[in-house]
Amino acid sequence: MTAKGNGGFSKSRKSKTTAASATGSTGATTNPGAGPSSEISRRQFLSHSSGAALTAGAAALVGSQPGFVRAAAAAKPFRVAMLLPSFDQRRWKAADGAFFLKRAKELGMDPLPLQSSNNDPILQASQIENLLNQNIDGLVLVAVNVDAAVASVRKANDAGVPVVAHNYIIPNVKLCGVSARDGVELGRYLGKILLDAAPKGNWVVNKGDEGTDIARLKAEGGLEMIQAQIDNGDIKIVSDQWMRAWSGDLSRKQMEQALIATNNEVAAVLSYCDCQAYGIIEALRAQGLNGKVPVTGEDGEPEMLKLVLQGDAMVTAWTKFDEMGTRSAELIYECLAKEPSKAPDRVDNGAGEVPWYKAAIENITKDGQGYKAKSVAQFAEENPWWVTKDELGL
Amino acid sequence: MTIESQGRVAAPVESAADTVGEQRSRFRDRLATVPVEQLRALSLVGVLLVIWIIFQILTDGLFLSPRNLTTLSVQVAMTAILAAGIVMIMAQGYIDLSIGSAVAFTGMVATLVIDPTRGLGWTTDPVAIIAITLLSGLAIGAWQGFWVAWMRVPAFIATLASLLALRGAALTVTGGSTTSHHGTLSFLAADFVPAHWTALAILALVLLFALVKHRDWRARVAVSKGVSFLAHVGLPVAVLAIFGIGASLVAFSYRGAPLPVVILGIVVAVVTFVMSRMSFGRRLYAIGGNPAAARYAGVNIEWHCFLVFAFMGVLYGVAGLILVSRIGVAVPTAGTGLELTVIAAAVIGGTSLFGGMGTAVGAVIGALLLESLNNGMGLMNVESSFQLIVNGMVLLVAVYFDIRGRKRT
Repeated sequence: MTAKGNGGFSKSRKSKTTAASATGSTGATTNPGAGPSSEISRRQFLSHSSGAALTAGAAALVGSQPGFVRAAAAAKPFRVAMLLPSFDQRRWKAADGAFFLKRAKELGMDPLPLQSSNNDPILQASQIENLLNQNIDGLVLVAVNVDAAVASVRKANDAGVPVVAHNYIIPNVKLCGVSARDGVELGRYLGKILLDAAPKGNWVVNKGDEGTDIARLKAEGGLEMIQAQIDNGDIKIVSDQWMRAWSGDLSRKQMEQALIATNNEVAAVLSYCDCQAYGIIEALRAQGLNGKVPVTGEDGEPEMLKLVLQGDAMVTAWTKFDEMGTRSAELIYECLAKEPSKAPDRVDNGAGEVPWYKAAIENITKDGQGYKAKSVAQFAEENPWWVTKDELGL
Repeated sequence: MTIESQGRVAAPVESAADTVGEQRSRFRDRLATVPVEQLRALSLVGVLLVIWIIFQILTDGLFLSPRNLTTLSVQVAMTAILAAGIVMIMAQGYIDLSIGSAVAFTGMVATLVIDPTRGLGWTTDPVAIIAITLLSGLAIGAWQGFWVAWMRVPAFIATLASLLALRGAALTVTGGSTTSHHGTLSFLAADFVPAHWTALAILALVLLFALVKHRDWRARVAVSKGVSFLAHVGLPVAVLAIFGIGASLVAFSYRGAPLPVVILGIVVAVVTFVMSRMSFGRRLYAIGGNPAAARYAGVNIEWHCFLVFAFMGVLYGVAGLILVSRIGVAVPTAGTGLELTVIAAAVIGGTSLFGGMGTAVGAVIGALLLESLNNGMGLMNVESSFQLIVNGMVLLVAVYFDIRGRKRT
């Protein structure tokens, strides 16, 4: 399921450099569409504002240390909470949330019930205040909007409550851990596997909601993979659109128009969301082209997996949301128990290096063929909590 | 000039323009007897034709190809059906903000009835599924009508509550999952009515329209002089006939008439009949124009309000079925913001936000105008953000002209 919240930066780049210097270069990759210019200006704005934010934050950080002591000294189990952006997508409750709760209990912590912020950054800010008033020891936060979350994280730090950023990196404020995926990498996975299937011809690019960072990151990664082919003329992008509210109906319309404009000469469709790929496949079906034109998607939704099995869709990309939830529980535990982190990577979010667990990505295809792909059957076997082989008729 | 909001029963006009010159004033008088909404619909058709011709040139003849026109007609069907329905609500001065959520909800009901793993798996019989879906829509509409009519909750709030609650309900029931109808309902979006049947139906429609118009005209001539045959009968019938011939040609040269468009035709015919021929519909305008006066005149406002919301509910079901058949699955977040497109279409088509005015035909043309812009720009691969700007500006300009036109009358 595609994350619709606002937030998440180009993490691979971020890890090499500080936020302030990265801000100018992150959006530099060419990207036709309105993405790059607005992205850069937003990030440049961030880099300017971060100076002031850091100074203000520094004072707050000093005060945050005693809180760790309090939590560690308590004999009671750590009270931790996870705040999700919405329950709009199955992943939040069934994957990220469920596995966080499971691991937290295994580690002897006392997790509060999952809460959703209804995609509303203002609601999320007051929810965090309420959680702080309930004397939680640690918070795992999926920011609805990463910039808006900065103030809340600072407030938590002031109260001595460490914060793990889940799914999106929250910039320029002290975090105790990050469990997130790399949106650009996700785009690369889809771009690469589709390029191998259709190295030449007319491509349709079906992007997510332009108002969300994750849509822009995925689009950036996908484009990166095919830029050389676009430049040398092997690939012609005949339609390239952002889809408001990740709409499947709009996606069907985009596909219908692209098929009319090219007289059905479309070689491949690079779609970044299962929710949109459904509409595209139906548009192809109306012209008897389903299964003949490779279509990508992302989220590993059961209905999409069925289409992959039928051959109507080529691939759906999957992020290990379950592991993300598990690692967030471990990261927050390490912070509270003052243990050194076992996370393999470090990322600089602009306020220092933070332990980073980077969630694994994989492509799922019918028989496991293609770039970093595994078969639907194997996927279902490994993730029975998400979809069973029975359900897929395997 | 004094013209009642609904023109048709308007008294002959004593125009101040009489002094300007006999010839001109006579023409004006005659024009003034033409229903305002008919004039507006005609001018809207003119704007639509201009847009179509511009796109025809910009897309090197792709836009007016039979295939694209057929595609366009299906693309607009769902919005247009809802726009035709909301006219009945807006004519009374109410509003409906629940459309997007309600359509997503009914679509979800349709798939849950079928789906054995995530849903109930009751039946795979299309007739039963359609009946259950329409009933679920009816229930939502009746619920809203109840709160607006008898509980006196403003429609804005009652339907806003549904907008939130139904979205939440869809998410709770599915846990955020996508559910599928496994092709059971695909025929709704994929099937076509053969071209010869389409042409016959259109011919019958044009004849019926001409008959009705002619009867109206005769009735008017009986009470006042100077009622132009050309303006009252000739022009509207000619426009409809040309449109009908065009539609028939498109049907013959592609695959026929798509099922969603046939459904749209039925909905528009029903709403138009009710609104212009039945006293029930005429009272809706009276309620919107002046609720107090309508009440003194003995109109049961509550009952009218309830019935109209309930009818709109059935249309949620119709739209939900078309939506899931078009994308193959029900996504709980589908239809986000749909209500605003529908309201925009109705307003562009001459429906007043304050009640008392509006026709289903106008609303459908409004929807067609918005969808034509998206369709044409999609053919040209214009950036999506730019499409939004164009849609916004068209809405603004259309409503501006609407208000200006109303002041003059």
